[in-house]
Parts: sequence; structure tokens; C-alpha cells
Amino acid sequence: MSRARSPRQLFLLRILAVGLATVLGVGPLMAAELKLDLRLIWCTDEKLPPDKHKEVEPATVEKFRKVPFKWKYYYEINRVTGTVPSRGTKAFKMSAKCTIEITEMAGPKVEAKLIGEGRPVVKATKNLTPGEWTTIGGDDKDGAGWFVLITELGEK
Amino acid sequence: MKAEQELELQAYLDGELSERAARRVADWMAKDPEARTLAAELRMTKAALAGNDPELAVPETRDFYWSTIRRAIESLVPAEPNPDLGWLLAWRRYLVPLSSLALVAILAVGIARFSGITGSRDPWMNLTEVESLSDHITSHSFRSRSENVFVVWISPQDQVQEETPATEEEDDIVIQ
Repeated sequence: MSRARSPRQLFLLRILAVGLATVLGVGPLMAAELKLDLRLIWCTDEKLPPDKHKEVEPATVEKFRKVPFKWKYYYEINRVTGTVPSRGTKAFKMSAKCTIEITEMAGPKVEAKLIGEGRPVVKATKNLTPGEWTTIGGDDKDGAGWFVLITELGEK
Repeated sequence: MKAEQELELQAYLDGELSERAARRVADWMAKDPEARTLAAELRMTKAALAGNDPELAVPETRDFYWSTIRRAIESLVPAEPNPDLGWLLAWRRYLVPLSSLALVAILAVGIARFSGITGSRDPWMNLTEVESLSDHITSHSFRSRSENVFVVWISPQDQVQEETPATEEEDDIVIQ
């Protein structure tokens, strides 16, 4: 035989139910589109003519040096912004040879795939950490280097 | 005669009826001899009792007698709660709802941490998987905690074999 519950018990049960529903329901609702900023950056120790190449702003360069990247100069070759749909994929063409494919996954996780000259090169799957910058790059000839800097728009 | 009528008649004799009810009973008595007989008996009984109430004398003085009763009553009344513990008793009623809210809060924090809602800086947030998709490429990855930058660096396979083995670094290697 079931025992009748007092109004106070019913009130507490309602609070518990609403709390649990809120907590359990927030996770799936967190899936959201990603607004990304991608910059293809070339780094070298040689100073290039300023009219031909756009220098990366000093604050960002300072951050690169603390990572630590040890090149003296950083130039922005291309910059692309775009939105990756929730649980979807978007390709960002950074140059004729370089494309970055971003997938928004459950978790929330992000998969970044570097495609060079049409062929997949490397894939990184990581948890989405607020404020974190992600770079995918490599060495170039004559001691120079390049990388794609991926940041989430609206975060610092 | 009904019992209600007898009681009403007794109330009439005791002067407990309203004016209107008293007139009604008086009319009834005037018409009903049985009622009159009963009224006479009741009056006689009342008079007999009034003149023969027993006189009871208290052995102690009046003040002592009542103070004895007062002390007996006070000994039956439970003692006042300790004022130092009063706040505990007052809060006891809130213990159940507070513990329920605490349970919900603990669940919320726990689930939020494991589902990554809060964005807290716990180590599990930085789990990363880097996979080389080309046979000619090897990748290094590391994370600069101080700058909050995650780096994936690719190198040609032959170059890596000559220089350094393929490893996954955690922090603070120099890229050049």
C-alpha cells in the first residue's frame, strides 16, 4: 500500500526532479555551432618588405614567442572566418595547397584535419577548451615555418 | 415527554434560555400538566441541593494549598529547551530541504565537470588525440599551459628519423 505524501515532501520531490532534469538536460543542449577564426601564418627570421606581407600584431607575436616559437617575424598569409555547424564539418581553404577541415563533435570535441595538396596529412581530435588556441604547422625551407592558427571567435 | 423537552425545561428553570425560548416553555408548561409536574420536581431537587451543599475545609492555609498545586503543575511541565541549542532545533526543520539542495548541487557540479559544461581547467579537458594520416609525415604535439596554446607540428618522416624520434610532448619544447 502506498503511503500518502505531505505537501512538503511533494515540493521537495518537485525541486529534486527539476534540478536533475536541468542538470541532465544541459549537456545535450550545449551542442552549438562553432564560430572560428583561422589564420595561415608564415614565420621566419628574415624581415620581409612590409608592403608585401602583413605582420601579425605584436601581442599575438609575443604569445607565440612564449609558446615558445623562436622565429623573429610572423606574417599573416591568409585569414578566414567561418561557422562550423553543430555536429557538422566545414572546410576552410587557407591556401592553394592547404585546407583545414573542422568537425564539431559531441563532448564537446573538435576534430581538425589538415589537408595538403588534396591529401589528408594529420588529424587532431581534442576537447574544446575555452580560450585555447590551436596551431597546426610544420617546417618550411631555409629555416622558416608555417602554421594555421585556429581560435574560437568571441573568446580571448 | 422527550429528553430534549426535559432538558429544555431544566434550562428554563436554571434561567439559561433566551427570552423567546423561555416564553415558549412557559406556554408549554401552562398547557401540559406533565411538564408542570416535572418542573415542580426539578425545583424541589434544586432547592434540596442548594441547602445541603457539603462544607469542605482545606487543612492548610489557602495560600499554601494553592502554592502546593502550582508546584505540582510546574513539575509536570517539561523544562524549557536549552537556549544554546535553540538555533539547532530551529534549523532542524531546514535540514531535509537543505540536504536535498546540496545533493542536487553535487550532482550538477559532478555532471558538469564530466560533460565539460563549466570549462574548468581540469586535466581531462585537455585530452587530445593526434593521428598522422600520411606515411611520409610524423607529428609532434604539445600544449603550452602558460599560454593556453595547443600545437601540432608535422615533419617529414625521413627528417624525423634523422633528428628526433616521434614523441608526443606535454609542454615547453622549442619549435624551430
